[in-house]
Amino acid sequence: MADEKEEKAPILILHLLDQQNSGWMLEGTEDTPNPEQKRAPGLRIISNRSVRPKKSEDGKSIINEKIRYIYGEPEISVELQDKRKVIPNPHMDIIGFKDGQLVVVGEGATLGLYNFMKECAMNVSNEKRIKTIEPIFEEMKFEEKAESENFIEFDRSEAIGYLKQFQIKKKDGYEYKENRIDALCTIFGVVADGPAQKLRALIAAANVKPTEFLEKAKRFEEMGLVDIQHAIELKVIEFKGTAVSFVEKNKVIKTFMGNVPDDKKLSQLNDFFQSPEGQELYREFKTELDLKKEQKEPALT
Amino acid sequence: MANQIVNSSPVCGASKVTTIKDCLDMPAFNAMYEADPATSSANSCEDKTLGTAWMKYIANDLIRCSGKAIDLNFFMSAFGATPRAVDAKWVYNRYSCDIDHNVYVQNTVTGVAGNTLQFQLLRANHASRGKTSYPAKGYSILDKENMRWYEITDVDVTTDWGHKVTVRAYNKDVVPQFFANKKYLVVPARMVGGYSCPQPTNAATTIGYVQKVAPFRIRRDWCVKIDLMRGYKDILRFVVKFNNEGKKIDAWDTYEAAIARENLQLAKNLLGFIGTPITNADMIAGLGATIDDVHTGFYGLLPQLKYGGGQQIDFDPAIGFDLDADLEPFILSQDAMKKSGRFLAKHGKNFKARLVNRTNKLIKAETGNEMFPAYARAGQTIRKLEVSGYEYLGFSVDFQEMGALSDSRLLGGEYFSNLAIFMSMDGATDKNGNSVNPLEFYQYGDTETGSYFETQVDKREITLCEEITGYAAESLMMAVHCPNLHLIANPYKAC
Repeated sequence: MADEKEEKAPILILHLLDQQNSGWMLEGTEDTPNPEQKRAPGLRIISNRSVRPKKSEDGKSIINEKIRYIYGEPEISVELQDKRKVIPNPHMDIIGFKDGQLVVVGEGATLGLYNFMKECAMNVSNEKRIKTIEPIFEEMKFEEKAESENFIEFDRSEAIGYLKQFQIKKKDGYEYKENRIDALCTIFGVVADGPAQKLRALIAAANVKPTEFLEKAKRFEEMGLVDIQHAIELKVIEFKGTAVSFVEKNKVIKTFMGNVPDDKKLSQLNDFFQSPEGQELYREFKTELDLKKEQKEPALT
Repeated sequence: MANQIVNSSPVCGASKVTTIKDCLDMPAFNAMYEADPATSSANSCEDKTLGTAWMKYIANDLIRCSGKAIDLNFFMSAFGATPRAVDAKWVYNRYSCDIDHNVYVQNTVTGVAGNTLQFQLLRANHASRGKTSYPAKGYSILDKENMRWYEITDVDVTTDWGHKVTVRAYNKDVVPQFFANKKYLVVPARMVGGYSCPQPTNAATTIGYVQKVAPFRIRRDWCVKIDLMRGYKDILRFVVKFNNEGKKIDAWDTYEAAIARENLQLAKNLLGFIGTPITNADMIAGLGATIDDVHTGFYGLLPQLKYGGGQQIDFDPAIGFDLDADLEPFILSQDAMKKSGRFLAKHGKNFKARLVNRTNKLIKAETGNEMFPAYARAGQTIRKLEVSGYEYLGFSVDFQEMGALSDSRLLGGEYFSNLAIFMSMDGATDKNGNSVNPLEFYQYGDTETGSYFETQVDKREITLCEEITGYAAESLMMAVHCPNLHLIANPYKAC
């Protein structure tokens, strides 16, 4: 006999939306930071009737189709149930959430309940639900929740790693990329004294919303470099020797100290534009660049 | 579904409440009642002296179109009781609950047939500050639906609130599997052979739940300048000061004191019915704090029933509450736990109206052609019969309307007017077996209590300023005992 792979029946883990603290705490937890509290009714019986969207017969519009849960009946369309003369029994067709939760297995006698709970308008996780009806519960997708939580942790670690590059350990202390730190402080609205404290504050900001932090920081970096490249192509600025200047105004923007390789000059200029000292020159740079862009590609009228 | 043609919003140009800060005096008072000189016919021809020559003839200086007085004391009159004196501002109640022999696992785990499997116990299944739990080595755990038995081979209690249980299936061909959010029954006895030796596991049941009740303290101040009480600039033609019952009040200080009293009563009743504690740190401490960390308050009746384990049945308010289909599951669940069978249902007007219609249809449907009187005739008057009570299977409920639930000047609206709260009249008992009221009120303080207090002071005697000031204040503490004994009939439109 060939091996048959047993198909697992799908399971719905449902959770009432309307839950909050009640002051009823599990004894022994009342003095802990997160006391275990009752947050839902002991039993909540919800309606076994709802509606779902369905294409009309001519296919031109969407109509509300009535659905109903009947114990033991896999079909949930009221029209089809009536056609088959399936009789509802209000004493059996009961849907109850215990302590705010309900687990439904999509097989056997509970297949109809599974189908109903998946498709009814009370399920906020049902994207096709009729939005005018107040939702009551949601599907708990623990696997997806764990996945997104994992990613937040990965981003958090990447964000901290990104900030690490701005504090370099030397023999006799630390060296800080203060320009970059100051630029980031400006972007994230962080205020502190000294580069080490600024970095601490940036780490705190990264911990709160790591994904957003990373996106913002990297986008700002990239944006600056793209603009500088473009400005070189359009001859707004030019690198000559140890300085970079505006071509037409013949005005020095920044002088590079020491023997800086060309590829590093771009990022150093970007850092300078992001620092408080470079803000005004950056505005001038942007104005010149935008003007040149317009001259090259005048706006269509 | 029929369109709602009943408009329960206040009409007749609802009287507005307005607040005047600081001490009430002539300009503020005048601004409320003085005619606009720009448009008033009293100043026609732009000659102010001529303005006093003509006066409108007022046949009735006041006809009241408002309804019955707002029931400010709706909650206390329905549920109130003499507060019990307590010695502290925070009161704790401990509740013994039914023993549940089931446990849950923290995460779903699957093992291999023939091998042991370890799972972590759900936090809520721990006791003694996380140090003890139900499963013990030698006991069994039963997956009821699948009739799978597992022997507990070990319980690792190293981590508080995270006990790890190792099991092996009775049947070596079974793939051991434990799902989160599913109940597993603990069988608290060991499987042994013909000869066995002791392996003591002592049982002690925990009490269950603790409820902390912190007080709310509310206060309402007022202040009237004496000058206002010496008469006005002109003669006031009409009475302007009325209390909530529509009775006119002559003096300003008496009026403000009466209004303060009524306002406090209203706040107290709303807190008792739907209050929730204050947890906003800015309100509790710091520069803008308005309370302190003791008077943070308690959960009112409705939040406790909804979130503290009460029973809740959704019903369609357009169809009405069905005493058969909607109530029977509750009756059976009460019976399954051998709980209370006597209830008093407080409800809004709409709930009752739909209940009567629904019940008439239900009975007609169940009795077929038998005549069931829904109306009674007394001479030429026809009276529609109501439903004031219901009995079935040893369960009884009496219905009592709570007018405030349908009063749109206060709480009334579609939700509250269709709401019903079934309060258990028995079921909760104290340690001596004596019946306990479902709601209990407390009052702290020995000589200086938090009970209602009002006073007024003539500031001329103290600061020499010509004003009278006063205030009313009260503390309120309330506990709802055993929310799981009570039921909310929750109006909800599913379609």
